[in-house]
Order: sequence, then C-alpha cells, then structure tokens
Amino acid sequence: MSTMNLKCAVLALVLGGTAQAVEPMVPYDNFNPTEPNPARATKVRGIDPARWVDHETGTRLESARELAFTRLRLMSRSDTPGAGSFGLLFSHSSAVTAIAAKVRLNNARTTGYTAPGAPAAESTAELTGHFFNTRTGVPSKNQQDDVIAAIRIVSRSTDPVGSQLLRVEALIERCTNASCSTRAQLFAADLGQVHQGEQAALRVQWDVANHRFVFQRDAQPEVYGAYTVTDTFPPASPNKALVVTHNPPTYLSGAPAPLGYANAYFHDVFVNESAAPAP
Amino acid sequence: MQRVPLLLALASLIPTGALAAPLSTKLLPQNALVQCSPTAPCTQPTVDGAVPALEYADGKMFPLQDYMNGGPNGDLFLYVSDNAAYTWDECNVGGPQAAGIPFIQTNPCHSQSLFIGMRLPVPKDASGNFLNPSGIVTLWLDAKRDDTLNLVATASKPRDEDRRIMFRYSTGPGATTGISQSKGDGTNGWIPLAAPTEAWTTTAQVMIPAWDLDHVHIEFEIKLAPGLSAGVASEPLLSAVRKLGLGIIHAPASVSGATQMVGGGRFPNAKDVPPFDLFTETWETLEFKEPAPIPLSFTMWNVGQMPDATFWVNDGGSGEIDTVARKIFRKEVACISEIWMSYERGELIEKVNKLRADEGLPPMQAITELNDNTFQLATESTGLVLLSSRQILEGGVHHFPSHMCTSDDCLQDKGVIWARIATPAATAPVLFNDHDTLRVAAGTDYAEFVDVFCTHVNAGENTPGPDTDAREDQLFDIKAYAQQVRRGGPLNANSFPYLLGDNDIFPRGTWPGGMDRPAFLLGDMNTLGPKHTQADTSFPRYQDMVGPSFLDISGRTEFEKANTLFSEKRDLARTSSGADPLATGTWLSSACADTVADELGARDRIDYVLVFPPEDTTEFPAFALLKEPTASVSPHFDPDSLVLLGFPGQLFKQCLSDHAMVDVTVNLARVKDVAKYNPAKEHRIEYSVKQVTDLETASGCCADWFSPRVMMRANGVTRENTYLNVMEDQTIYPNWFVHTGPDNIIPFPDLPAAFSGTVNMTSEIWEADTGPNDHYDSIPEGGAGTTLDEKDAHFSFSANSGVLRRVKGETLANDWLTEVELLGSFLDGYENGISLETQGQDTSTGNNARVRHFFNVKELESP
Repeated sequence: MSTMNLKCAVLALVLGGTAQAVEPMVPYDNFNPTEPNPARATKVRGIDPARWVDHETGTRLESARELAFTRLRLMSRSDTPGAGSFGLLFSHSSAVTAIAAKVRLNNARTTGYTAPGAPAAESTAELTGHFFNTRTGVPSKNQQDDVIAAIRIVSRSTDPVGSQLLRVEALIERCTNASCSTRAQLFAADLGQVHQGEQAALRVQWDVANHRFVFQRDAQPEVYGAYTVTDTFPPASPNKALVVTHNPPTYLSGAPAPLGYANAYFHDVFVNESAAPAP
Repeated sequence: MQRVPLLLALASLIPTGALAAPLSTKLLPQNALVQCSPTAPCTQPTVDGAVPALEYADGKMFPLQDYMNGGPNGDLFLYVSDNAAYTWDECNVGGPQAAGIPFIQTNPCHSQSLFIGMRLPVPKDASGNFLNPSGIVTLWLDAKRDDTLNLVATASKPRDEDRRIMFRYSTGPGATTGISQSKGDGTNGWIPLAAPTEAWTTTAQVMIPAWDLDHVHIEFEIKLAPGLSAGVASEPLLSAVRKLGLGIIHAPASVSGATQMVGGGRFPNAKDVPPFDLFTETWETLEFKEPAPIPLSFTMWNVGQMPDATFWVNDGGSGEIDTVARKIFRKEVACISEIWMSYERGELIEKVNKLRADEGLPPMQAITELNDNTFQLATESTGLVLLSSRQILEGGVHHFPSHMCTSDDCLQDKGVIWARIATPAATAPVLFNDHDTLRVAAGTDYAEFVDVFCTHVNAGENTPGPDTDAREDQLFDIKAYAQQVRRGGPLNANSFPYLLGDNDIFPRGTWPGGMDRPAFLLGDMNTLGPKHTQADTSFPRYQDMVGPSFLDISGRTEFEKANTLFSEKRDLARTSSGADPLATGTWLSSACADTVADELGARDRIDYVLVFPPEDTTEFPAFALLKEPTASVSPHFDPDSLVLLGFPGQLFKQCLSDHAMVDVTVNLARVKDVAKYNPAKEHRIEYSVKQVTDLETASGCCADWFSPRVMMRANGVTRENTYLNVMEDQTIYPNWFVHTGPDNIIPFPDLPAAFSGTVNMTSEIWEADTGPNDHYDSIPEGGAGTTLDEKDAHFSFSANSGVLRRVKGETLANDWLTEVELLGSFLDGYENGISLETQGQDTSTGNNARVRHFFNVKELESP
C-alpha cells in the first residue's frame, strides 16, 4: 500500500462513519488555538466563542471550563441533587447530527447513599445532543419527546469504592417532561470498561436514513442503536454538547452527603460535514 | 560626563546615600577557633613572593585590569586572618593542603593580618621573550572606615590612623625592592611616621616563579592593629566595626624593548574612579563578614502522571495536573518528572502560571518538550518539565542514546533537561549615574547564573544486571552532557564522551562557560542511596553513581582542600534539616497513610539534588556554596483520596505521588570578582536571541519559529544571519546569533583596541503559519504598527562608554541613538554579557512574543 493510500485509510478510520447513509465527519475544533484544526481566519485566545456556547444547569461546589493547553477541560464537583450538566454547546447545534471526540475522564467519583430501588448516582463525561422529536406541534420550549443520544464515560455510586474502572456507554433516551428532567430509555449499550485517566475516542452519529444512531468507541466495531419512534420532527432543544454531568442520588436525611466529581478532557472534536464551522 | 555606577548586591541592601557610597566587598577573616583544627588544618598564605591561588582559598580573588595600557589582566588575592591565635597544629601543617601551595609554609600561622597577593603580567619584546618588569605598588589603608562611611567630616582625607604603603621593585639582574610607609596628616596629604612603632608591620616579597614565567608575583602581609585604642588608632578587627578601607594601585614602569606596557591594575577595579591618594571614599570597603549569600532553592518531584494513549498505567498517586500545580507554583526552580503526555506538560505550565498570576507573581519560565505531532508516540520524550521563577538564560533537552535502556523504559526517551538559571544576583538592581541622575539598569547580568540539570534515569533493579548497566550508561551520559553544556557547547558535537541523542533540542553555537561554579543535578536517579550517616558502602550502586566512573562528584576539589569556609556537600538532600535527619526517603508506594511523613526514614531514597562542583583546578572558582544547604522531604498525603488496589482489591488512601518531593535551599557566594569592560583592548561583540515565547494565544501548541534576520553593524561593516529552519515549541532557546570575528564567511572584524564608535543590532521574530507567515511583535512600543521599528527590538552599544541601550529603531540614522531603555554599562561588570527580555504588545494581530536578547563584549587575548 502506498503511503498516500495508507494515509487515506487511516483518515477514513479516524473519521469513521457508516459508509452509505451518513455524512462524512470533519474537524470542528481541536482546542489548540495555536494550530487550529480546522484553520481559522484569525487566532483566538481561549475557547472560541464562534463555535461554542457555555452551558450549565444545576449548581455545583466547584467547576472549571477552560482550555488546558491543547484540550478542553471540564471539571465539576457537586453535592447537590439535580446538579445537571456543565460544558459547552455547539454554537450551531441544529446542524450537528454527529459528534466525535477524544475523551479522557481523568478522575471521577460518585458517592452517596442510594435509596433501595432507586437508580445509582452517576458522574459522566458525554458527547450528547437532542436530535429530533417524536411528534409535531411541540411548543418551542417544551422538550417532551425530544430524543437524546449520548456516548459517555460513566462513574456510578454502585462502582466499588476506590475503583479506577469506569464504563463507556451508549444511550438513547426520550424526554418525558417539558424540561427533560425525566426520561425514558430507548436504547442502551455497554461499550466496555475504561480506566480513569485513559483516553477513549468516542463517536455518536444520527443515521436518520436507517432510523438509528451509530456509536463507536476507539476502533471497536460500530454499535447501532435502532429506534422505532418517529424521527421526522425537529427537537424542541437543538442542543448538542460536550458536558460533564452529575446525577446524585436522592439525599436521605441522616446519610452521608452525596458527592459527584468529574474532571474530563476533550479534544479533536469532529462533526458531520454540513455542521463544519465557518473558517 | 562622569559616570559612577554602583553595583549593589541586593536591592534591600541599598544604603541611604548610595550614590556617594564607596564600593564594598565582604571578606570573612579566617578564624582559627572556628575554621581550623588539627584534624582539618587551615591554609594561610606564606609571604615568599610566590602567589599560588589556593594559598588564598579562604580569601577572595579579584581581577587587575590595566585601563590605560590594555594587555592581559592580572590577579589580586585578599585574605585576612582573624583575632584568634593559631596553634602550631591547626594551620599550614602536615604539608600543603592543595596543589600549587609551596611545601615550606609559615607555621604557626599569623593572626590579625591582611595578606595581599598579586600576579601581574610580564612585558615581552617583539620576539615574545619575557622582559624583567619593575614598578610601584601603592596600598592605602583607611583604618577607621566607619567614619568615612558615616561621612564624618574629617574622614574623607587620610588621617593619623590611616596608612599609605609604597613598595618599589625591580626584577632581573640587580633586582631591588624598597618599602615605605606614611600616615595621613588629617588635612591634605601624607607625612612620615613619627616613629617606627607607628608602622603597620608589613612584609613584602616579589618574584617571578619558574612555574609562571609570564607573571611577576608580589605578596604582602600587613599586620592589622585591633589591639590599639579605638579612639585613636585602627579598628579593622574590632568586633563593633570589622571594616577596612583598602586601595591598591600597581603602576608598572616602562621596560626597554617591550612591545607594550602591561600589568597596571587597581583595587577597587573601576575604570573611571581609581583609588585617589587623598580621597578615602575612593578606596574600597572590606567588610569582614560572610560573603553576600545568593539564595536559591531547588525542588525535585516525580509526580507520576503516566501515559494514557499507548497503554494505561496506574498513576501511583492521586495527583492531577492541577493538584500538582498547586504544590509547585511558588517554588523557585523545580524539576518535575514523569509527565509523559505533551499536553499534560503544557497544561502544568499553564496552571502554574495561572496560579502565579492570581497571586500577582510573574510567570515561571519552563523547559520541556511540547509538540503537536500526531504521529509521535506520547512517551517519546523525557517526561520532564523544568520550571523556574528565575529567568532561564539558556536551555536544552538531551535524550539518552536509544540503546541505554531496559524493558518498558525503551518505550520512552528518557534524558536530561538543562536550564541556565539567572540567580537573584543577576537581577539585583544596578544603579547607573546618568548625568547625576540615578537610573536602574534594566539588563540581567549574565555572569550571575547556575546550570541546573533535571533528569529521570532508567528504572528497575538495584542489583547488578541489565538495569544497572543501562542506568550507569545513562549516568555517564549525563556527566558528558553536563560537561559539554558547562564548557559552553556546542551541543551539535557528537564525539565521545558526549553523544548527541535522537531529537535533542539545543541552542546553536556556543555560550559562556560555567565550569567555574557549582551546577546542580535534580533527578529521579532510581538508585538507592544512603540517608544521613548511613554508610555509603551499604549502597554500592550509589557509590558507583557519585564515583569517578560515572557522575564523578565524590572527590574533593583542590579548592575545597584548601578552603574551610564553603560547603563540600554533593548530595544535598541526604540529611533532612528537620527533626529527624533520616527523614529523606522518597520512594513511597501507591498506598499512603496519614503517617507517611513519619515513615520517610524507613523509605528508600531515589530522588536527589546533587552538586557538580566547579572544575577541579588550582585556581579559584567563581562561586562556591556557603555552609550548609538545608533540605526537606515532603510526601504530600492526600486525605481525600481513596483507591482500590490489589487483587482482591483493598481500599487505601494515597499521596499525590508515589514519590516524595525533595526541597533544597542553598546559598551561593561569589569568591572571584568579575572582570569589567576595558576599552583599551580588542573585543569580540556578540548579539543573539536566546529565548522566544509565544504570547499569541492563551493556550495551545505550538508555534513554528524562525528568524530571517539577526543583524549587527559594527565599525562600518554589517552582518546579517538568517535562521530559516523552523523550531517548534511554545518556548524555544535558539541562540540565533551574529558576532564579529574570524569565523564569519564575509570578514567581520572584531573591534580594535580603543574603538570609540557604536555597534547596532536587531533581530526579527517570525512564525511560520498555514497562511502568510507572521512577523511577531517583540517590543512594547509600536502598537499595531508593521514596520521593523514597531515590531523588533533594536540595540546600540557605545564602545567608548561601555553602555548598552535599547533604542528606537533603524528607520532614521538618529533612531539608533534614541534611547528607549538603558540596559547597563559594561564598565560595571557584566562579565558574561547582558540579557534582556522584551515583550510585544500588538493588540491588533495578537502576534506577540516574549524574546530574550543577549549581548556580550568579550575581551580578546592581549595583543
């Protein structure tokens, strides 16, 4: 194989994507303002406001959203139930149908007493977005029936205490209320374990023609999350984002206070071609 | 115009009325009670005429420069013995302590004496034959120095207690000597002593030793007189004062047949203000106290930030980049090892400087390897970061040759990082009297530096085998690299023992040597070492490491054998300065308890701060270490940590790293004074760009630097060098240079003696970009302007006055004469050059760089 062919093959592998139905992936931001990919007409200091919008829901004890040399760093620490998510939205989220990035959850901890039968508390680093809505006529701010897809690295309160093992997961959910604070799961897949501090290349891509999402971790085989709901209507919230999230357990009086901590790094962000940023 | 520059050791020591203050030097008398014993005898000069330097090892050395005639410099040595009497068995006993000292020595040694040794160049005829010199040495002694310093009205003139000693000599056939002594008359002159008992007992000898035929040696012993009444007589060694005013001039006589008169010299060594016969303020003050300390602290810490791309390895501690940054951002010089990912090294530097900015501290400068090469394995680096809150004057990265490794270490490119650090003395304020207006010179004194090396060597076993073999190869390589660096390069040489490593990063050309001072090696040496008084013999690999086959730092230098004042320590963190001297173990484990700080005595020690001593010669080093450095070891327990280790897993707390942090504080002292600019001599002029840092973005990696123009115009000739090969990093240490001298392709002659014109210099800093290349702004003036004058620093050196200035630019001829910033005068010293940082402020493009410039006036050998 010639050098050029090898490079093309490597490039195809990096960009990923299913062959027939989805747009090719293109660079969106490598979080390296000195040598940006894609190139910019002018260099920027810090996070590029033309490409990203700050995003935060809930409250937290401590947080950081910053360029860390050649990566984006998102850090959040919270002991508050309903801590929500913290990160960056794509500035033109509506055009984004696919997100890929290298993600490293450098440190995460999720503790707290979980009531019997209640889901475990979670801290995550995610590539996520609202991709469509299952019904028409949704008021613009009512996110009910928005369908969310995410690929994420997860720490859970049910993990062994002190464990440095995290999980990589793919997830499709439907919002069940207007604020999307409650959701119904449409699809979930475990993409394997990852250590704290271990980098994973993640991709989530809406394959609308085949009514499914495509998930991929590193060079592992693609995982397809098929759904049967209607996918022809735009979401109420067009947000696509890189975030860290906390979902602490319901705090039970007398139990130790819950804690969610996530310190994550993102870089080499790609999106579908039609969402490519302006130079 | 009279310029009276004053070099003050530290800003805090600037006395009131500093403008009028005489020059001062600290000289600690040798104290028989403290420094000498039968088991460690002292050395005192023997006044036999020969002046081997190490006779004066407990004193100080100064240059003697002939500003009238030029020619090679002479040497002056001063040594004082204190009040305590010597016993026969504690000084000059048992044979010479060091090489060069004559076997027959005065015994017992003399207390309360000032010894003066001079080595003066001998004139030659046209065939190069030595001729017999003659001349006069005049010594002035201001006995009640505090009166002079306190501006007592009568003390500005020589008074009854002051002495002038004149020594006439000739050499060769019919050689003669004569000595006379007079005292001040309190008004305006010198008068004969009223009686011989008024004399300060003086002995003088002169000779041309067979082992030093190009110098005439002159030696004095002058008995100081502290026992006399302080009200009427001298006070130099009185405990309440301990000062002496001293002036010295050597005036050579004309020698028939000599091509040039040589050998003039003076103390104090100031071109424009020689010691005047009748003005005591023009003599230098000898303060009989410890040399001015130059404090420096070093930190060594392996922080265990392991790679995450090629394979996953447990960090071994709970530390992350931000927690590490919080522990080190206030350090002075820190060697941080085991940060394998380029982006984590870059993030550490950013975090440290963010924390410093929050506290109003200037940024730390750094040397590491940063790149954005997608196809380079993350582990192909030393994993080291060297951070300094002091200016870094030069720097480089050396990788061990690739065969010097075992096992997983071969997946890495371990090596050693070098930083030449400006000490606090380099940036101490130098006041310059410009037309009777005191101004602070902006330049950094390049003579005031130490070389610091930061390393991490092969891991593995300590029992003899492949691991220790590889490690010892690396230790030998470190030694060879450090020698090459300290000798002034070049580092592109690839001849045994110094071997160029793959992807080494180093400055071009050469730089001032640093073998005349201690250098420091900070590192995870992966070699078990003794703590406190534990026997070296129990640690054979340690013995090998510091022994002559590898680092070669265990032996005493000749200077150390003769000196009793300075530290001879090599392994600075062997003993803790805290309550438990054994608490210096550094190798922790992944699991830590909150009692870890109490367990350091039982832990192994593998992280070090070591000293390379100055080159072992029979001459003085420029600097030595004051007794004794202090050390502490800190494990940094993390109470918030919790980790599951082992199989089946058990819960443990952790430290931030599985290595403890080592902190060492030293005090340097200058023992050899600097030579100054002498316009009567030929000079080689050098200008270079030493460091470039990208200020364009708040983050990111990495700029691709080049320079199309490093220009010098001297004596009607212009030389422009180009450096178009891109250097990639956020900060580079390129040494893009231009200089006069014979190695230019197109002749660019050195400055002749007595040259009185100007030398003009400038450089352009560019970054290669995907679009048009960017011409970076490197000066605060000019704003968004695009001309050379608005982007580039311009400098002008006046050979007549020795003053270096940053100037407006080059558009108009007069711009070269329009001062923007005063850097300093080489008449004040700056023996190895002046360095200056400039920083761009282009708010339009943001293409700003911080650039370190360097300028040197190097005295050539005498004609």
